[in-house]
Amino acid sequence: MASTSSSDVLVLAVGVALAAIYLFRDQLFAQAKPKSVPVPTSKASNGSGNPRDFIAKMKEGKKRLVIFYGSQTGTAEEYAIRLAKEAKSKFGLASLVCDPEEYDFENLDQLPEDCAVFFVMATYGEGEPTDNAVTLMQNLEDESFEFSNGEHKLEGLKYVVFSLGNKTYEHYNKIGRDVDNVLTKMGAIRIGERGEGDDDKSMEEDYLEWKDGMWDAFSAAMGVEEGQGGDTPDFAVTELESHPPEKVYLGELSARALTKTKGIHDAKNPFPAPISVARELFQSTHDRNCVHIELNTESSGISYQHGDHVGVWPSNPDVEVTRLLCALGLYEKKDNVIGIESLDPALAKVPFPVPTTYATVLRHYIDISAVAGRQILGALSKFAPNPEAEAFLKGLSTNKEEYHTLIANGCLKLGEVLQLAAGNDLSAAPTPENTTAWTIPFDIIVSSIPRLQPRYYSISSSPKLHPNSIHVTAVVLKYESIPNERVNGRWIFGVGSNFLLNLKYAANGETAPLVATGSESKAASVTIPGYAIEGPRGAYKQETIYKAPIHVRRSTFRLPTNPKSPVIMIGPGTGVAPFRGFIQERVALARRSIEKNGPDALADWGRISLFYGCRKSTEDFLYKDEWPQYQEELRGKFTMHCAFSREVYRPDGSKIYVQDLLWDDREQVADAIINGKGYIYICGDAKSMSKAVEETLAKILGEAKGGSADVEGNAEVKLLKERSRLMLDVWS
Amino acid sequence: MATVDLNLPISEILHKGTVKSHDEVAKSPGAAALVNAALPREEYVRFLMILWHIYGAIEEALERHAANTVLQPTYNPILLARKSSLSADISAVLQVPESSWQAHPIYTITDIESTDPSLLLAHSYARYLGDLSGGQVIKHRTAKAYGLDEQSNIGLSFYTFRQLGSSVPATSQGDMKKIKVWFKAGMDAGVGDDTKLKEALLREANTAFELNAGLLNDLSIDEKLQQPVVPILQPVPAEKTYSIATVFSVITAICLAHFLLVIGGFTGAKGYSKLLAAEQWVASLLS
Repeated sequence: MASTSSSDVLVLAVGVALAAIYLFRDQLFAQAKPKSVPVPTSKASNGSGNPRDFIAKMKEGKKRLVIFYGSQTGTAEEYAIRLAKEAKSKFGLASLVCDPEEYDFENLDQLPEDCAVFFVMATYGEGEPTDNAVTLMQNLEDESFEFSNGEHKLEGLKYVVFSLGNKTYEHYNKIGRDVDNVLTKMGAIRIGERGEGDDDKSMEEDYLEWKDGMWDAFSAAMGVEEGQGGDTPDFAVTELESHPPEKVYLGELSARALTKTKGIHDAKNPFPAPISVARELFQSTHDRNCVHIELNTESSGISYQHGDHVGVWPSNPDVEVTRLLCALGLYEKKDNVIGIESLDPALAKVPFPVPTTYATVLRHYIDISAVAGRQILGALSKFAPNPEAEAFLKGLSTNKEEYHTLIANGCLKLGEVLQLAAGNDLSAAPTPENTTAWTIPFDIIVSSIPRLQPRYYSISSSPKLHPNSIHVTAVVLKYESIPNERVNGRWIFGVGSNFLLNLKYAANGETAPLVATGSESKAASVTIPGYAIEGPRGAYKQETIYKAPIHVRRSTFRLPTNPKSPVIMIGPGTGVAPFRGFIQERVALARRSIEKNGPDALADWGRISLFYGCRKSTEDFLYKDEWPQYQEELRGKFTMHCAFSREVYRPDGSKIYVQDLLWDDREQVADAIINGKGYIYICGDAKSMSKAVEETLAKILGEAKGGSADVEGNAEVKLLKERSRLMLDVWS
Repeated sequence: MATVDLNLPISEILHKGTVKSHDEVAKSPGAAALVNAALPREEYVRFLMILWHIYGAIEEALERHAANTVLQPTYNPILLARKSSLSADISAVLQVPESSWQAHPIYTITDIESTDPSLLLAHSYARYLGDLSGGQVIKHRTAKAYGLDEQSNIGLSFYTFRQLGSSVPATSQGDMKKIKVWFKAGMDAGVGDDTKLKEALLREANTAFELNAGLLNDLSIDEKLQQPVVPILQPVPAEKTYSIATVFSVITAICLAHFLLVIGGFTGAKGYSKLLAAEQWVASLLS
């Protein structure tokens, strides 16, 4: 179709119009309702006076610092907020973080003596200020601009500068330097050195390197001491006497989930997906499990593509929830309704929905299953029930080595550390009777323990074969902690995968088996931790069907659209998950092509090679029964290379891994990449496997190009990455 | 069109030779509204929908001609392609599933054969390099104005790229610059010393800018909305009602978008005159 007449257009328009009217029919023909428009909360809480007067705002909020940021894409603003947070945590000083566009500068000279002003300034383009800093720069640089003192002078004004720029541009950090120069000229006094960050590579390191010296100088210039800040809370927690129970969050992940209103499902509003299939994938499960779970997404509006990730939102296991409730002395009050408010919304937002209950926060919203961090232990020591416990926590927070052996290697969670410090028995089921209560304010728990995050898995299905179902392949994490003089070795369970395993048992009506105890020296046998999988208000259970809250995260891990391009996939263990999806994607395409063009339709397709590895073909061979069928449907275009590291050995007895098979197949591999313009995908362990495979690739390509792995090989690998023809989906 | 030394590499020819067209776009009221995120919510969505069609056409054509020697060095849909992220963003902003707003009939009609696929390079250049530069400023403003969360990236994926040669999101200006440098090197490699092609590409790139200017001019900027816009993702009443006018304007936009892509340079100057005719036709419908 080379030309378009206006009649075509008319046909098109009518078609589109009809389609659009159909699509929007509900909205179009719905009765017009009065629109309720949420009103943005008024920024200026000071009813008094000029909203552009930052001095008045500082005085009102008892703030001694004002931080201006010149930001175009948000980076400078982030650093401004970080500086404000650090000033607060180090010195207990509150800051006013300001967009310079929203304020006037005539009274900059009126900044009280015990105050300081920070400038966090980005340089844009050819040495220009960011849009929001244009007026600020004009005011500072224009000598006829008068401050309230009637002069262009800022005698004695204390200021700090952090400047952001990019070394590959000519006018590196010009604006920050200009601010510094012009302020000095006006008689202002800089605190510490001027910080300069290079956005091209090392912004973060530049900042870290600069800030300590600056804070030292700041402390001297402002007459403040470090350590004054620990007690300034971020949040106010209040117990609510009466609150409509239907408005209390009991683990719902979004407002829509609580009010049961429609909306699309994404990371802000996960979809409770019914589990339609849940089965074990390992042939032998005596020491490990791997679950295959199919999540039904019908009528959710969720779509996905092969190679995408699914985020599963777990909850914390029952035993850890109870343990921490007891250690915090909240067990009796666990279901009390609480409201939480941020005391400085610019610096800290309440990380989960409220109002809620103590038990809900610990179960659904914060990550209490992680190993306790060193910093938090120091902060909690002052709430210890006795001097010994206090000394114990202080010791851990200051002695890195002891923390490492006792807490990190021992895999102790916060609740367990508190029990250990108070001399409680860790192996008993926690109760208020056997657990010492600490009087830690709950706001400290909220601000120091991060939000419970979704666990991401590479989707192991293709939407072309399974449009309404997302498949997850997850090896269940379970390992023993390293014993030390205070704590025995115990079984540690990964939160996400054990949550899935729990769901699998529940979905099939199975009972969880006891975990193998091993030798006597190890911890007492425990059952696999239980979870409240029925969800808040039973939302994740419908008769006998269980649901898991999920959302889809887009990835760039995709097959080339054209099936003629050869494809090489390397995915040992559960690294094979996305490749099952890839193969299914090609199978669906093969079926369509054969239907349309007959049995020879795949003749010009590129080779599809999968390098897979596991221990034994009879023990942990994932999807063993499915591969032959895929091979048949792909008419010889799909070859599988398997390394069974505990079954087939080299003549000298050494193990064979995927990279060895890749090397064995080097001629074909090089041909597919160099002549066939093929694509390579690596999925699985980032540290050893992925690195070894990349090295092997460099070796193969270097040799094929008649050079070395180090020079020609690495250059070829880099080029492949830049063209997105070598892609990684790896984890550590 | 400015006269540019055709012995320069194509990346420089296009940079120098489109300064005027580029500035005209950048200074247009539509561009200002976009940068200041002053568009009403519906209008912003409409803009994304038009872009979705434009990128669909460009990316499908690039895909068909991936092996073309001029296009091959910059062919990297995994890094550059915007169509699916636009779709996700529209969905996030409207809070309706992707399938419900994508008008399927269009898919088949956009299948246009081009006369010289090499010229597609001019369109990649005008769009992708713009997204990598000014797009990053728009992203931040848009996030603030419509209450979108930059951390989660929901509703903002159109503006978000991955680092060159990696799956890690690109966050700094430096990351963006590396992609731009890579893209320009690929253009130069693909075009080489072919002055005839260079000339044609320069003409095409200017046409692409004109078309983009037309797109921005079509945005209706509401004076009242120069004040902060109501955040999009605040809880809104479950049932949203679109006025007939809004829906009609969406349809018109889609039609216009279709013209942009039909004519989008694939048929040269003859196409451009058709665009003018089409615009008159659309205008007559609206008046």
